Amino acid sequence: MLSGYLPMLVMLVLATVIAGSMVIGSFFLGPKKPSRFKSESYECGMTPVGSARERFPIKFYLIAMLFIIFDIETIFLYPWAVTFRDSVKSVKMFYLAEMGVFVLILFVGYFYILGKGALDWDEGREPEPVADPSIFKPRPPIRFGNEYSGPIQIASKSESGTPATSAAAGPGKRL
Amino acid sequence: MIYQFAQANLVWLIPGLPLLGFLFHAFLGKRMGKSVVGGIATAVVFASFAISVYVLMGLMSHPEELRRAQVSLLPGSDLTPWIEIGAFKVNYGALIDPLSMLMCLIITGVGGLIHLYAVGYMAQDKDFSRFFTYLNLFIFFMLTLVLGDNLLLMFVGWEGVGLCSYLLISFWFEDTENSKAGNKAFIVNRIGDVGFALGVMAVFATFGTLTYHTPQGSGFLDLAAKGIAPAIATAIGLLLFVGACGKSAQFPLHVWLPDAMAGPTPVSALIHAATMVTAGVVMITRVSPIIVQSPIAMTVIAVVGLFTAVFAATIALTQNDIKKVLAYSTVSQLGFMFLGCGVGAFSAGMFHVTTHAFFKALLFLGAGSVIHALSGEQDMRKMGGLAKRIPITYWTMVIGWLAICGVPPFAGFWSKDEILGLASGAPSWGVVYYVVGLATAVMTAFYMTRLMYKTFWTKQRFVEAGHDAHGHGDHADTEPDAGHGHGHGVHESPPKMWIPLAVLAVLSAIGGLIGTPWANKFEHFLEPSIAKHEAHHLFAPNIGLLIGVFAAAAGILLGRALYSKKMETGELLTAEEKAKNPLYQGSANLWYIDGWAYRTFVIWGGGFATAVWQWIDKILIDGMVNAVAAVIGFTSELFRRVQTGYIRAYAMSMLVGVVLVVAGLLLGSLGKH
Amino acid sequence: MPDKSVIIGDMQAILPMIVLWVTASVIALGDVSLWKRGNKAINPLLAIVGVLVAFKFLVNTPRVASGATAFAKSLAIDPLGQISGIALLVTAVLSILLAWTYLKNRGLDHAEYYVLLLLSLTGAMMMASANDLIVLFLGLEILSFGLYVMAGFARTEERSEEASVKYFLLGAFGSAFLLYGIALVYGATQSTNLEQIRATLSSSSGAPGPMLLAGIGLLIVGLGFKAAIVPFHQWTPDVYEGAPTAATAYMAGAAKIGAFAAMLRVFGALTPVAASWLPAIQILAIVTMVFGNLLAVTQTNVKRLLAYSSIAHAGYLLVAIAALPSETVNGIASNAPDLAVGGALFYLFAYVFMTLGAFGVLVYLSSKGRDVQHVNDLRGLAKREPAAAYAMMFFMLSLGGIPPTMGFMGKWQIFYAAVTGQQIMLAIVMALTSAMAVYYYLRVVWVMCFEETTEAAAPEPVARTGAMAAIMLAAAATIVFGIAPNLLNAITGMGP
Repeated sequence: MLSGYLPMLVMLVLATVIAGSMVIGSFFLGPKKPSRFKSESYECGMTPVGSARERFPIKFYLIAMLFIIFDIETIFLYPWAVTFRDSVKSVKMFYLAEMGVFVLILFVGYFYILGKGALDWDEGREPEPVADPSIFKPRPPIRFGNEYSGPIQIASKSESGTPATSAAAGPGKRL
Repeated sequence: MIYQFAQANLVWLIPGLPLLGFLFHAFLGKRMGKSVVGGIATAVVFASFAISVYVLMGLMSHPEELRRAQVSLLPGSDLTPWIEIGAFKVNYGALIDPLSMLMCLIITGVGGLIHLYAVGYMAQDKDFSRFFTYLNLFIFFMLTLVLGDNLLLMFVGWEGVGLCSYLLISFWFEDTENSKAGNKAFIVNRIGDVGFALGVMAVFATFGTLTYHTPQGSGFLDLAAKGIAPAIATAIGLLLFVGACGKSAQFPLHVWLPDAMAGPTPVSALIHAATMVTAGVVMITRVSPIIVQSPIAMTVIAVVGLFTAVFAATIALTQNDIKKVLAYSTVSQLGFMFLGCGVGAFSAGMFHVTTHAFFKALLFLGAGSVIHALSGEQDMRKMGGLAKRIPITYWTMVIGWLAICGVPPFAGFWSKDEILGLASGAPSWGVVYYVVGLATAVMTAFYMTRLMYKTFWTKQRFVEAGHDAHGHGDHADTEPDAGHGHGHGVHESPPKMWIPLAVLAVLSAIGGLIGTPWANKFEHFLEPSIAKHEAHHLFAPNIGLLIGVFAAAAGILLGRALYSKKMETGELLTAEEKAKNPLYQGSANLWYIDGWAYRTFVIWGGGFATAVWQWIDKILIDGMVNAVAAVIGFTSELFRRVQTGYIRAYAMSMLVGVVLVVAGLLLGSLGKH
Repeated sequence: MPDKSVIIGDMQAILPMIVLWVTASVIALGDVSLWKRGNKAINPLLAIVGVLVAFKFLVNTPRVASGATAFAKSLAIDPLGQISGIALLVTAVLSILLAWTYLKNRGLDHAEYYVLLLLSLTGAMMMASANDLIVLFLGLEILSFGLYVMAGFARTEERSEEASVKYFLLGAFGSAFLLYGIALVYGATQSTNLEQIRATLSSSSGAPGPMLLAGIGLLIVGLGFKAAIVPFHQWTPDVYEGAPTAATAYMAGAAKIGAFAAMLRVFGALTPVAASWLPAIQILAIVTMVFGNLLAVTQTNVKRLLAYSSIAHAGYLLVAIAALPSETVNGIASNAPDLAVGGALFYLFAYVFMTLGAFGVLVYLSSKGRDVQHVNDLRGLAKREPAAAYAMMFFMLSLGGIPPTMGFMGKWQIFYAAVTGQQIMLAIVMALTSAMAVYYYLRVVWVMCFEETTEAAAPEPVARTGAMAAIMLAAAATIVFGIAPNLLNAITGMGP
């Protein structure tokens, strides 16, 4: 009954062995010259510790995210292809049309991001000046709600003067 | 009962056209010229009249027992439900039968004439388009009231005409007195409306439907005709009659109508004489199958009607404001109509509604013409000698006067006589009804003769405008805007105003001939709409007619005998005699009803209310309410703290909610086993 | 194997959604190519045309009483789905009109907004006619993704950003519960198909097992989050306040309709085990009505106030859900379920018109330098902008449930359903809390009519036609359908 899952088990074991042997192998075989940058979590991209309000090139992430989207959608083609191969002839056209629609949807998204310029790496262009430099300044925290506006006059006056009300909102924090 | 007939698909236009007119004026009226506004406002009402005639012809082509159709009030559709929630279902439909079509003809016919008149009367008013906006809206609601196939639609129309009445009474709202009169009308009517609303609920509770008639015979009137308990009939009848008292100004809810004369005169003619105030009579006639099953309700209606008739007539004897006289006379005539309903002579009541619409509209419009001629003067003590100066108005007024006095063959004679004749045959108190009614008829003839003398026949007592400083506004009741800008001098009204007078004069003169006791076509016409109820004369109709003639003659001759000696002043009594005479004082002071009501309800009631307010409201109720409010405010404040703005807090509260819901479900199932 | 006729039937069932998707694609592609530098007014125009075409197709779909399905029983073709679809399309038209004005005045005029709106609308429509829990989840996610981005559409504003992130995080949290609930229900009934679930539940005797109960509980949570039911409501005020007003308006309408249409379906299918979940719904309804109204009382920000009011309205709608399982009352077949569905649908229409209208007034008054949302911004509005003020007055009266408005009729219908379904307690709480609500609604009216304006003249907005059109449409609907409720039934084919 479970024999159907046997290939999977083999796959799992293989993956574990290969990945494990690579890590262990490099641990034993590789030369070790640690530096500060090498021991950080990620070598490429951004510094993991520091101000969150740092400027960093967004293009890398943008393209990476777009890649993931299209990549995953492409993977869908494989199970479809298997089903398509095994299906009876009468419905093959229908299945093909369905995949056509799927690819069409992909293309709409692709042409949209293309038209939007999301894939233009365009190294030569200077970054556009930031419209408002104040966005780099430290900002007061945001508080939602009307905590600062005081209660509207529904309760009697004595109530609004109690410490309970005036102590409305402490220093604000976000998220 | 018929479902459809060829002409019925036009019925929706009858109220639809005035509604279109209203919308047009409301949105575009201010940008249009006065001729466009007045023209459209009048045209839509006359168009409705034409359609009403057409529909009526269609209805009359059917045999008598089929003259009742239930049709949609929406264009091009079958009967559509208007509100349908569970068992509660009312249609947006019209009941087409002789009663509703008669009222349609009166509303659109007389209404159209009054619109035409108002175009001339209001020509100088700065709020010309607003006036016609309200007027068209009134016609729409009034038609909804009479056409609707259920009590709820009637209620909508009922409230709608009340609203329009309020808006039009206080039309010249810059004057506080006018606003107060509007408020008075509105508030007094509320009392009646409560009764009406309770009556509607009682009908629904009893019959489970508010529809009058259905082809299947499941309407509440169909059901009631099969017989209901007298107690229920009494309860429903009396509650509805309270509503009728409010709208139709019956004692003691009559106090608003005379004050309503603060509105422009065409309004007085249209709303407070010809149409709206008769809504109560129409309603009682409509539900006559219920009313006739309750002798108590019948008697109450008759007695209240009779008392109102005589009571208002005595007040009318001494009023000096020309419109006030007519207003009290309207109250009195409405009393006659209810007397008719109360003795089971519904068709006689409706006949009087019809003739009264003709002659009272005529009299009001004539009075308006007089006021117009005198640039706003309403006090009869400052009139006199107008017969030669404004001949068209004078001659039309004469016809109206003869009609209301009950001189044959003018309209009022036939209808009033029929009511009195049938009242005389009422099983109990018939003689009392007859004698008091006859006395009222004499009084009516007398005060109308007095009005004619004071206005037209005695010597001129005013100084021509333009020579004298006396102008508008030095009397509280003068109409601030009417007739402004005409310069000076007494002048006949323009054709727009006298043509309606002439048409109404013709109707007042011959309109009653459709209902002579020898060949009562009117009664026959209305038969399909009203409950069968035996009403008879005490004596042969011809004798009744003769007595009626004598009564009218007595009143007129008495007036002539008294006033022909006082042609200079037009006053029967000197100021001193007036002050001494308790009867005169009583009548002139409206039998102290308004003052008494003011003292009772406003001062004492106010005092009582203040005390209640001070002690119960402020301390107990307000304390409770404030406590509740404080608790709400406090709790609200408390729980607002939970709203911290932190996502983690929100997620936590969600998680708590999840745990509670799931745990509750699981534990709940444990508890059951 | 699918034969031709089935395929056509399936396609017909989702034709409105296809139209919306095609419109969204055309706008997205056109905006980056054909009219890249042209007049941007074409985007909202196209969007409205698309919605109207979808409306046409939706109305033309043959009305089958019930039982008709498409895509292997995963989509239901029934009045509930079609009528809530109409409500969603009405919401979309009003929202697009509002966005047209708002985005232009606030300098946010990007085509993406309309694309997102149309795509999330597709999801909401799918949710409303989902006959399968997986499809329901799919629709909910499609709806939500669009909304997350729309909430953060004013990306230079921190509030908008924060609203978006909050909505996304908590939304993901809520979706996880829903999915878990679906999994558990599947585990208990061996199906995700609602018809199948109902059949299984009614045929099985004995008490429902713990897996099913936990699953139902999590379904309540997941859908309750979208519908903003206490205690899963806390995102609502923050997101409503932070999101651009036009997006808030759309969110208020579409999410509520989608969530309640789905609830009506899911709890309809769970009727056989109603005894186990009804108390939970009753308690949640009471808590939601009480807290929604209670918290609205102290609000001075109109957007927050409307957020709490939307929570309160969710409570009223839950009353209808609670009346849903009363298929028999005292052993006699009752029409309470029909009344509940009809009442809830009518109420959703009323809710859309009055809430979108009220947000529309805020949109109408907002300009580039000024985002109107505080109640003080409305001071003396009756003198400055009488048309907007009177429309707002009607919306407030309607939200408060005062006749002759649609809000009153809607409340009455739900009330009637609750009484018919013997949910007397809920009906009483509903009446009491509605009375409480009148206070804060009338306060807005009071401020508009009787207080003097304090602020200096604001910069004149660039364009206001769209918002005015939306306000007038909503106001007309609020009054006309309030006076003639059956007109709505006649138009939508709703009711018996």
